[in-house]
Amino acid sequence: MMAHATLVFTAGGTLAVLIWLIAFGLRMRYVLCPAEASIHLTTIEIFTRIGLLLGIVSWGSYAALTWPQLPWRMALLPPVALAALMVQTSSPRRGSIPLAALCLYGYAVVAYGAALAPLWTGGGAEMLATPPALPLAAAREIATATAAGALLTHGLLLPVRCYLAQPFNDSLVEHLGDGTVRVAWVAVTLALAAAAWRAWSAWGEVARADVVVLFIAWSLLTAASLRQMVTGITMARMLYGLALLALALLLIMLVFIP
Amino acid sequence: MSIGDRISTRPAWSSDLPALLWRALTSPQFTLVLLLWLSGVIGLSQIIPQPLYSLDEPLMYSQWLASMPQFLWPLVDDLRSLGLFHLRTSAWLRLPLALLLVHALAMCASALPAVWQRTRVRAESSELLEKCTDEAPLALGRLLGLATWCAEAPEQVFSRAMQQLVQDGYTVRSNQRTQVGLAWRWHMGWWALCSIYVGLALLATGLLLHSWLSRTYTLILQPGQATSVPGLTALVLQLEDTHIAGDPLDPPEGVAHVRIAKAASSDEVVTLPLHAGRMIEGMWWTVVNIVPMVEVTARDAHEGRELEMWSFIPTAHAQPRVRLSLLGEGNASFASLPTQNITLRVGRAPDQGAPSCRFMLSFFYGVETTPAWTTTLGDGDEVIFEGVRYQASLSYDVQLRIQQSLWWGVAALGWLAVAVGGVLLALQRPVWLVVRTTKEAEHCRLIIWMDTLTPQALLPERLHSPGVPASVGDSGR
Repeated sequence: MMAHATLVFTAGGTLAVLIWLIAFGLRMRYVLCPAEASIHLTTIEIFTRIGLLLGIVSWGSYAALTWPQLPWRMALLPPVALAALMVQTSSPRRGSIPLAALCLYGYAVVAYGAALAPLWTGGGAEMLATPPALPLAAAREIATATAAGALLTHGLLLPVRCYLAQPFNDSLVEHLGDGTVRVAWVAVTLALAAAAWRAWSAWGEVARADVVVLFIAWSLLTAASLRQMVTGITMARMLYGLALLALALLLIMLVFIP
Repeated sequence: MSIGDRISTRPAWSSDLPALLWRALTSPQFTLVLLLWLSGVIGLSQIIPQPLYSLDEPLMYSQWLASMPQFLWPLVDDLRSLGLFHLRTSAWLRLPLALLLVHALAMCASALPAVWQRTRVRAESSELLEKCTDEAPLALGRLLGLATWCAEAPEQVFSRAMQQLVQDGYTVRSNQRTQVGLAWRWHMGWWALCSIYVGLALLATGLLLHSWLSRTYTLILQPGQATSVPGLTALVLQLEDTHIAGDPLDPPEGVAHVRIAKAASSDEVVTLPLHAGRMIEGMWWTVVNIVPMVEVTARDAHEGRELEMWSFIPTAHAQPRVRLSLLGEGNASFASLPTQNITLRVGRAPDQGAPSCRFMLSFFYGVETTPAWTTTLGDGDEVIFEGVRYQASLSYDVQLRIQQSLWWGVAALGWLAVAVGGVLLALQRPVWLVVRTTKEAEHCRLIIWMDTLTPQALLPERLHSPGVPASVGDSGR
């Protein structure tokens, strides 16, 4: 029964994440260039809702069958990811703030994907034990996933822009590039604060793997952010590289570091 | 019309060394280089194993070397001489921290006069307007210069420009006589930029002093045993008792009562919860682990006489009670009963089927590697093997970390200053404008200097406001 539930969650969850990724890409394309005839907002909404349904059913069945043995990361991240997308789909102002809409998609993809990753890598058992200072660990986790979601949005801007056949709003790309780095920086700062506080109060030191990884990501984003402020260029190659490096570190943190 | 764009108006390249050095130190690119350098060293310190002890002691060194992968052995001495095994206390980390400190202070020193001037602009606007010249103003962020020629009277152009800035939400101060105007949005943002550099300076100072002056002691406290802190001889600690909650073999929560005996004053018993640091005696005390141990005693089953056992740990001696580790860490789990030629080992019971609070006791004859008998026991249970009655009970060691010195507080304060400054700038970016009109032949020249931290693509819209045609702003850098 347990193996069956795991299989359902792995397959259904992965499919949901893939569908959200498609919806995410289409949504970004729509935001950057609404004139492209092939994209319809309704299609994106349908994709998102199908993904939501799959995500809810697969995670719900897994959680119901494994409770209370549910690993803490799997108990925390998918519901928050699903809630984020529900807010995105049900909000009456969902189209008016493109930065928030895209970051919510990014967050859902990263958070749900991070919860699924241990099932693919076989490291789920390590997440079983409840960590010390759970509220701080949860805050760190949600903030890290938010930062990674914003950076994923930043990372997708360039490739999506390259695929656009029609002229697009360049200043909107700059606005999104700047906004995603700001959101990521604030989220990483919160994640680092939570991780450092937790490490210091629980172990009396901050040189722990999660704090180190978050500190490096924070340094990279601080450097990127300062550079962005003094040059005024938001989509420069160096900034893009720093953002992708920070994204890789945050994903490592979410998948491998308990 | 012309547009100039530069990062700052600091002195141009000069042949004299101090100016060159100052320019390098106050370059925003240097922040990027130093942060990347720091990230690289900290990242390496996580990848390369960093022993917590000194490698100068031969025994420690040989044990540590044995734990390294064999292919690294020929390189170890070279890598060690480069300080790669103590990166957190090496020049690799301290040098970028020291440079970051100097750079952050230099950035603050170069920025503070302008920030102060902009803060006082409400009170001293007339003075500041008098000082404005045709030259570019001192820039803190990205300086954008724009000049345009109109065929109208300078007074008209100037008034219209200032009115439009007011409509756009700028706070303005102007002098109609000299036709110079100042406009700004959220000038406190410049303090946020300063806060980032002050924070970086404090962060670097705290980390430098922490790595240089602070000491960390990790102690294992055993019940009833006095333990002195190596660097603090006046302090002797004794574990009074331990209370745990949850699984007895893997306690998620617990409290240790520790008696602190001080040479100068009376004893004090402190309560230290697991994973909840406390400040005691000006130091940060944290119980990082409560380790379950199995205490085993042996008696002759017929006569009831106590039998002495030897634990396998190097400093052990014969005693009627041995404490064995359940963690399965090499010799700490073994003890021998020389009179019977028996070796016994404790270990955790396999997960499946056994209740959570039970552990295994295995008996070996002589040097055999296969146990002659294995049984599962609970706390306080007795078992008889080969005419000897063994009693096993659970007790707990406490792993205590004591952090001396409070330099980490300076680093935390610095980080907080960076965080506050960064969050404020993430919410809103400051803009500073200097507007001037002059009469040139039959034309009027409107000059606007904009100092901002806002992205380039969002600027033209703001530059259009003071009456500049829409096509002008699109040619940026």
